[in-house]
Amino acid sequence: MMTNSRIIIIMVLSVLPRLSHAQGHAAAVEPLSSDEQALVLSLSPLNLPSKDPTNELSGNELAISFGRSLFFDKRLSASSTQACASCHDPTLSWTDGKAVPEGGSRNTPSLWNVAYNRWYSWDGGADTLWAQAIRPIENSKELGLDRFALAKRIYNNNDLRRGYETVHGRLSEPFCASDSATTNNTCADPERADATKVLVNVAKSLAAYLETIISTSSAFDKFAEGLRTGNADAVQSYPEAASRGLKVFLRSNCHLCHSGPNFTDGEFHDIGVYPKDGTLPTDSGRFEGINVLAESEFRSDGGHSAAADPKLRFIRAGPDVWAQFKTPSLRNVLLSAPYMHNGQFATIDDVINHYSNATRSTYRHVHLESTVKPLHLTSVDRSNLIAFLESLTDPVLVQKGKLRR
Amino acid sequence: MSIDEERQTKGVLLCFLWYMAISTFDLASSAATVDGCRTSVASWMTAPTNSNSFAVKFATIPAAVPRNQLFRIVAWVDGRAEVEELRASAEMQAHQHGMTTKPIAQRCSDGSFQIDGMLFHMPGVWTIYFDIRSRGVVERAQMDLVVR
Repeated sequence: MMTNSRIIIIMVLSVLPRLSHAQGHAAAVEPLSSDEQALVLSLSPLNLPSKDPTNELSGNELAISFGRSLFFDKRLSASSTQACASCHDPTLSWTDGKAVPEGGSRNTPSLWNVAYNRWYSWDGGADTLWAQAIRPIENSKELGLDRFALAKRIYNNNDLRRGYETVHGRLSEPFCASDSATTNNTCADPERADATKVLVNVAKSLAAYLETIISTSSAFDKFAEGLRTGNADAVQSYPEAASRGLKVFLRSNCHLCHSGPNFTDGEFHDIGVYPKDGTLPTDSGRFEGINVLAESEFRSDGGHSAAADPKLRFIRAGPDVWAQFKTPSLRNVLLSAPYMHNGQFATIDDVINHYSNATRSTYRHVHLESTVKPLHLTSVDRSNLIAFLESLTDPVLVQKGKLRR
Repeated sequence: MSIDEERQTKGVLLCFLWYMAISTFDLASSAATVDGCRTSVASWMTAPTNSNSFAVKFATIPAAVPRNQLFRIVAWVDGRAEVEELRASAEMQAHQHGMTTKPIAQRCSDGSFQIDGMLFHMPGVWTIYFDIRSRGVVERAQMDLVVR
């Protein structure tokens, strides 16, 4: 009997350190090195974005107000059953909460902090926020409202017309317009130009509103600010598990792509998110995005833009950009599941598993990001990493109960 | 027309065609000439070409390469022969990829080159390559830069 009790006691004692370690109480968190501190300070603060030079309505209060009303208005779709907010639901962190929308193949990205983006959509098929806003309006798989029908819809609805004219001036009656998308090819050039102008104006008002969807505050930002100013209380109030997770984040080189105060480099990478059945990727990502951009009538160097964006001059196409997708921001990331361009991972644990277990043998593509190597994270590492990612959530959003977690 | 006259005419014609070809090349390579590139630089880095025929002296603008922002390079080439063309590119050898951009080089009126569209989108060691075409041969100079 005594022997059995001793064995049990010894077993319990041997497990306790592991439990306490798992809970983050085993030892004090090792202080950040000077290099790590520099990296932390490069990730915060996220200052307010500057105005978009390509959009003359950027920051315009009237346009923001009109754009906000349009964003939630189902009359912006051909069927009058879908609004922008139908897929970018603010209560779902501006996503639809689905892996991919019905009829689509790519995950609906969150709209948090879109004003900071260099490229838009997973493939960078648009180079400005307003040009991106045009894509779902005319896309038959999304809102499906062609520019002629849009002009008529706005003209024929007093509240929409009033809102439009408040921002953009008088709207002439669109002569070549019907709710049928088939009118697209039968309208004369001047009429097409008028309708295109309405489309661009609507998109620029939408963009002015989208620029205001900003989240810059999190527990991590308070920690970084404490580090910057020497405020020990602010540093110490940062959750211990998040501190450990921060070290995992840096040690694992996550910051190479998720860099800067918006936790993204805004560029494109192949991180080996391929079909689960082992076949090669069929979504060409950036490869086709460059083609889409090249053929777009709404590029920032075109006649609809208020200013040319110099980045367009230096676009580099090539076979190596096949299946590359844009790095998403990590701010509020725990609120925007499922994850990845194809919504392949239902939870953040699945994402971490991908990075933890990734092996070269699963890679069948020629130009993946070679820094993506199996991290072999322990369960403690994983939980700490999630604690760190949780510290990137804007607490105001959670307190207000606006967002599902 | 005598044989000599015919030869002379052919020679003049060939010279003319050769001159036109050279002129066309010059026009193409100097069409976007920019002024006074070198005067904007205070200090230079030097990278010899692999065969030591040339030395590329270059500077980044701004001097500290910004992470994930477009920056410019001003470069001029010290060597024994005329430089017909200079191209710049860069890659992260540890990542096995290069930039997401394709830089554009322009010849400057002072003989140097201005290269726009450089973008080091990730922190780490980047190797800059300068490819110099001279007398139909391309030589490469390279240097590592660290971006934090």
